Amino acid sequence: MFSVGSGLAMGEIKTLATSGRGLNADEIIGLMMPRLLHVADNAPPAIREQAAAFKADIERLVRHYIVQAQKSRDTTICGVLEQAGQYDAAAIVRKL
Amino acid sequence: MAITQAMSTSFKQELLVATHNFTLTTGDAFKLALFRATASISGTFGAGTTNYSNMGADEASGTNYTAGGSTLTNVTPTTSGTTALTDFADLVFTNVTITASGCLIYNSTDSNRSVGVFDFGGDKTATAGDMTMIFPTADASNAIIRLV
Repeated sequence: MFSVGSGLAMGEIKTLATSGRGLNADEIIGLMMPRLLHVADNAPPAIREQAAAFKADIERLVRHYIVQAQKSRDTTICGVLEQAGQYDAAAIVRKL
Repeated sequence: MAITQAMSTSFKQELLVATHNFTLTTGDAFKLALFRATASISGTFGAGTTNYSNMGADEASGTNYTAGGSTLTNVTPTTSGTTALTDFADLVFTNVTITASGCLIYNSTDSNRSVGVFDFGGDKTATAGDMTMIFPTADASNAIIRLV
């Protein structure tokens, strides 16, 4: 007679908390990349190396566009503030 | 009192009578609510927690946090080898001022029945910032809910 290990299991939830700011591009990429591309530990070394290189390329590309998206959002916020006559607030946002 | 990370025993039974559906879009809606700071927890939470209503005053409160927490985005269950698993998208509580020591995931479509209690391993604080819930890699060894 033998038994088979089985059952219901649960994973860990990690947290990332910021104060006085939202998430920056690196933090967002850190959340995204494990979901976008996961390289198995037991994959053949050649495949792992190729996948790691591909992952690095993707990460650079995504970082560029996330930073651009953040800058564009700041530009939009500055525009809205200036249209409302809030020039000082717009200047603060522009310096972010 | 304290929170102990555990799958709700009631959830295990409810799985066997098809109470919960984790399918994206057509499945049930699941929410994540935060527990307040460890030192303030007055109840006992863990395997015996059956419903969101058990949280009571032990739910966290703070700026821009709504009682009941936020709705999770389901990831349709799949399999990896001989393991069945499901996942949720990472959840961000935006621009909050809050301290939390853990969270409860519950089925808001089906009478707020509890899925499980999760311990953060200490108090986590965001002050006019973002508090992000990062779900583990959705594989056979780490996924948030696994039938092994």
